[in-house]
Amino acid sequence: MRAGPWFRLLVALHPRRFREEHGSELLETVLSEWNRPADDASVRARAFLTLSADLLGSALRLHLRPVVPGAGGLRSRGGTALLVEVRQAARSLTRAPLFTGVTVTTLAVAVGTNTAVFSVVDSVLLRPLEYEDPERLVHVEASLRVEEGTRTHTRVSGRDVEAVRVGVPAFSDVAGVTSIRQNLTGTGPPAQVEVGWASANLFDLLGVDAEVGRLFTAEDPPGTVLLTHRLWTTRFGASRDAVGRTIRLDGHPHTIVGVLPPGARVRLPSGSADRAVLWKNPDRFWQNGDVWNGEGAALGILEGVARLRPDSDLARARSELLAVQERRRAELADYADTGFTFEVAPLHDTVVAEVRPTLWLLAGVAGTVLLIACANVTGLLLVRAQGRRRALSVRRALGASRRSLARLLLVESLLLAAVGAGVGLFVGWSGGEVLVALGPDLPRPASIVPDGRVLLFSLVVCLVVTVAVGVLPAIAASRSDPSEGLRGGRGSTSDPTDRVRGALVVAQLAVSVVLLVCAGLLGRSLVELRRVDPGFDPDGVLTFAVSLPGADYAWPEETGRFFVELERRLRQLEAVEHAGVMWPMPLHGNRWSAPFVAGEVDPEARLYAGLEVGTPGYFETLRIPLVEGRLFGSGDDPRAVVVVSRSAAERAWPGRSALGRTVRVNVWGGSEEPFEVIGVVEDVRHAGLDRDPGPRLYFDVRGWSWADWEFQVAVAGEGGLDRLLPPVRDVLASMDPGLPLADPLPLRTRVRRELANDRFVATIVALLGGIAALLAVLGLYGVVSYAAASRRREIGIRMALGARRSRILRIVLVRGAGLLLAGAGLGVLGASFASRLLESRLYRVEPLEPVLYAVMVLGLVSVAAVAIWIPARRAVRTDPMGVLRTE
Amino acid sequence: MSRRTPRDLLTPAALHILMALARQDLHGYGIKQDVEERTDGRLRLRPGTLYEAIHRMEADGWIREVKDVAEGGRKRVYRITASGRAVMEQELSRLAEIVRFARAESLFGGDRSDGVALPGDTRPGPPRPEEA
Repeated sequence: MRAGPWFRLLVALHPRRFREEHGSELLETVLSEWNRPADDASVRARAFLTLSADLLGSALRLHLRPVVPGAGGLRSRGGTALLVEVRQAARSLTRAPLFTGVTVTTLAVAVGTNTAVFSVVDSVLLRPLEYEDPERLVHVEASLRVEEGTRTHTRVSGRDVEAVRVGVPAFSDVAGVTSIRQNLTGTGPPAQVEVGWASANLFDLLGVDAEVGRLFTAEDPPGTVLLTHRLWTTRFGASRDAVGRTIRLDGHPHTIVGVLPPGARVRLPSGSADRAVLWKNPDRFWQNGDVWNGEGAALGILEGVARLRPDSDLARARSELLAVQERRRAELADYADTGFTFEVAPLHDTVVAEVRPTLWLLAGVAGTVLLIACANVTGLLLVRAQGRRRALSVRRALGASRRSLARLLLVESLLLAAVGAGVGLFVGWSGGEVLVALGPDLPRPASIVPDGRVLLFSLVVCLVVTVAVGVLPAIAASRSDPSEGLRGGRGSTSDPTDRVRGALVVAQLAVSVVLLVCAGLLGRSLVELRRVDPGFDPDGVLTFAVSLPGADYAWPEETGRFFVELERRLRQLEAVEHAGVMWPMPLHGNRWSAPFVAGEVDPEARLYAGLEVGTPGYFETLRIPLVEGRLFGSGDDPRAVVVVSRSAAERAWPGRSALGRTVRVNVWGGSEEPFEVIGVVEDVRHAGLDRDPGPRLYFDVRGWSWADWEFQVAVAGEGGLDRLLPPVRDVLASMDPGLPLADPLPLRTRVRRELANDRFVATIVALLGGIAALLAVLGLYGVVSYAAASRRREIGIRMALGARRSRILRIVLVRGAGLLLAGAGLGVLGASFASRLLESRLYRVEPLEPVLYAVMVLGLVSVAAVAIWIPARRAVRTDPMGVLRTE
Repeated sequence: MSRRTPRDLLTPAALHILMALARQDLHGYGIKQDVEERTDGRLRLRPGTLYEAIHRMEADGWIREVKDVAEGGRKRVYRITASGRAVMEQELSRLAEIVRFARAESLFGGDRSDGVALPGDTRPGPPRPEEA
C-alpha cells in the first residue's frame, strides 16, 4: 500500500510555523520508519496505525496548545480559544438534549447508510480483480442469433479458443475455462464438488503461482489436478505430501500436481468457477473442449479468458477477431444463419455487470437520504440560531464581533456533525456486513472489507455533512441584525432563515415523494413477479443432485436403469408421494439447448429449444400438467420418442396437433436423429420468473449413457427437508454407498431465491423512502410550528379583536399547505423522471402509473397534514390575554 | 507524551531528548536512535511526538539549532542550552531523590542492586562536553 501521500497529508495538518521549521524532516523520518522492512502485513498495518495516530496526535496537540516562543512550550497548559470554544459548544449542546439527540441520530443514520452502501459498492465494483494486471484481462464468449431478432450469449468451444489464440496477436495468451460438478472419492467421505476445468495456461495467464508443487504444463497428461488451498487444508490437512497422491473424480483417477495459493479464485461471469475446489487439466472428453454434433461442428462449453499484450488494446483485439470470426462462421456453415459473433469485454466489467445497476441504485438512494438528513439538520440548527437571537444580540451589543459569534455557531455545528458522523461511521462499518448478509448473491461475498477507500469516503461524507450543516446557520446568524433581536418580541415573519427553511422543506418533501413512488413501483413489480405462475408447483418438493461416475456406469442401460430404479424405490418410501429425475430442473441455473428441425413445416428452419432428459415421474412430482398425448412408458424405445412443451408445439406446428409429428435433433454426441412426439406438456419458466418460458423438448433418460453427468432428482412429500431427506439418503446408499447426494434444497426455497434480489432492493428503497418521508414531515412540522409560534403576538391581537377561528386557522395553515403542495407537486414531477430510470427493473409495471402516484402522494399528504394540523390547533387555542401580557 | 504531566515535570520523552543532547549535538533522527539505543529499545520516539517536543523545547529555550558545517547544513542539528542543561539536571536530581527515598524505604524489592548510580555515589558518570 502506498502511504506516502497519506503521511504527507498528515504532516500538512500541522500548524504552519511548525511545518516550516520541521515539516520536511518530520516527513523524512516518518517515511524512513514506514519503509523499514517488515515481515508480514499485520506488522505493517500496525506501523501504519501507530504512525498515523502519532502524527494526528502531535498535529492536534500543536493546534490546541500552540507554541508561544518563550512563554508556552512544554510547560504551558493554557487552553486556546479553540479549546474553550469547543468546551462551550459541548456545554450548550448538552443543555438541549432533545435537539442534540435528534440531530446526532439523524446524521448518524445518514452517514451510516452511506458508509455501509459505499463499502459494498467499493468492494464489489470499484476494486479491481486480484490478478496480475487485471485491467489487461478480457472475457471471451460468443453470441448467436436466435429467432425473432434476439441474440443469445453462448460459450465458446475449444476450437474457438485455439483459433483466437492463433489469430489474434493482440492477445498474448488465451485460455478456456469451464466447471462441472463431479464426485470426489479417494480422500475422506465421497462428496460432490465443483471442479474447474482449465486449459494448461490459465493460471499463468492470470498471474497465479502454485503454493506447493507446480502448475499445469502443456505436456501434462490428462487427469492432472490442482487443489485449491481450501480443499488442501480441509481434506489433506495441508500436508505437503498431498502432491503426487491420486484421487478419483467420477471414478476416474487423477494425480495431484500442486496446490494453489489461498484466495486464488477464478472469477467469471458464470460464477460457478468461483466455487471450484479443485482444478483439472482436461481429458479426452474435452479434447477440443467441445460437445460435438454429427456434422462436426462444435457447441461450446467454455468461457475464454485472454490477456492483452501491454502494447495492445481492446479495439485492436476486436478488429483482429473479425477475421477469426469469419473463418469460424464458414466452418459452422450449417448454422450460417446463427450469426456467430465473438463477444469480448474487460473481465472486470463482465463479472460485475449484473449487479452494477442494483448497487448504483442503492448508492443513489443512500445519497438522497444523506441530503435530506442534512437539510433537516440544517433546518434544526437555523431554528436554534433563531431562538438564540436575543442572547446573541445582547452579546453583539456588548461588543462581540460578528465573526466570533459565527465561529461559536460553527463550532457547535461542527461538533454535532463530528459526533453524529462518528456514530454513523461506526454503524456503517458493520452495516456493510449486514447489507451483504441480507442481500442478493454478490460476485465477491468474501471480500467486503472496509479499507482505506471507505475510510476516505466516510471522511468526505463527514466533511460534506459538516459544511452543509455548519455553514448555513453560521451565515444566517452572522447576517442577523442585532438591533432587531433586541427589540421586544419575536418580530414578524420577515425572517430570511424562514424562507430558506421553507425551501428546504419543499425539497425534502419532493425527494420523499420520489423515493416513495420508486419504492411503490418496485413493490408492485415484486408482487407481479410473485404472481407469476412458474408452470410447476414447488410446494412440498425437495430436489438434490446425483451424478453417476463413468467408471461404474458406462452403458446406457445402466444409467437409465439406475434412475428408473431410483425413482421406483423413492416412490415406495412412506414419506414420498412422487419422485422423478430430470436434468436440468427449473431454477437450478443450468441450461442446455440445441437446435431442432420440426418435421415437415420447414426442413431448413431450425428452432432452438431447451433440452431435458429424465424420467416421466418428474412431471407428476412437479405437477406439470400433460396437455396432450402421454409420457414415456416402459414399452417405448427411448431413442425414438420425445415429449414437447406447449410453446415448442405451437412454434413448430402452429395451429395443429403436435402428436405423431417428427422432430430431428442431436441430443448427445451423435448425429441428428428423428423422434416422434408422443405428448405435450405445459410450459415451465425455466430460466427465471421474469423470462419467457421457451420451447422445451423432453427425452427419456434410458436412451443414452449419462456417466459423469449430474442429474437432479425431485421428491414430493409432506414434512419438509428433515422428514424427507434421511430416508432418501438411505435409498441412495442402498443402491450405491459411494454416491454422494448433493445440494438438497426445497424447491420453494429456490423459487424464493429467484426473487431475493428484487425483494432486497424493494425493501431497502422502501425503508429509505420511509425514513426520508419521516424526516421531511418532521421538517414540515418544524417550519409550521415555528411560523405559528413567531406569529403568536399577531394571533393574540387578532383574537382579542374578535377574529373568527377559521381566520386564525387559515393564517397558520396557508403556509404549511403551500409548502406541502409545492413539495408534492415537485415530487410528482421528479418521480416521473426518476421512475424512468427504474424501467429495466420493473416487471409488468408501467413507470407512470397514476394510481400508484396518487396513493403515495395522498399518503404523504395525509401524514404531513397531521404535522400541519397540530400547530394550527395550538394557535387556535391561544389565549389572547396571555399573549399580550407576556409581551 | 503524557497529558497528565503536571506543570513542573518533564515528560520522559523530553528528558531523554535532553539527555541525548547533553552528550553531543544531534539531528532529529539521531536523537531518536540515541534514545532507542540507550533504553534498549524500550522507548521508541515516534516522529510526530519527537518533533513536537523539539519544537516546544526550542520555544522554551532549552535547545537550540546550530548550523552543522560538516553535514553541509542539510539537516537541522540541535544543541542543548545552558537552561536546558539546568532543567535536565533539576529533573534528574528530582528523580534521584525519589530513588534514594525508595531505597531508604526498601521499596525496591530484594537487595539493593537496583543498578542506579546516583550523584554522590562513588562511580564516575559519563563525561560532559563543554558548551561552545
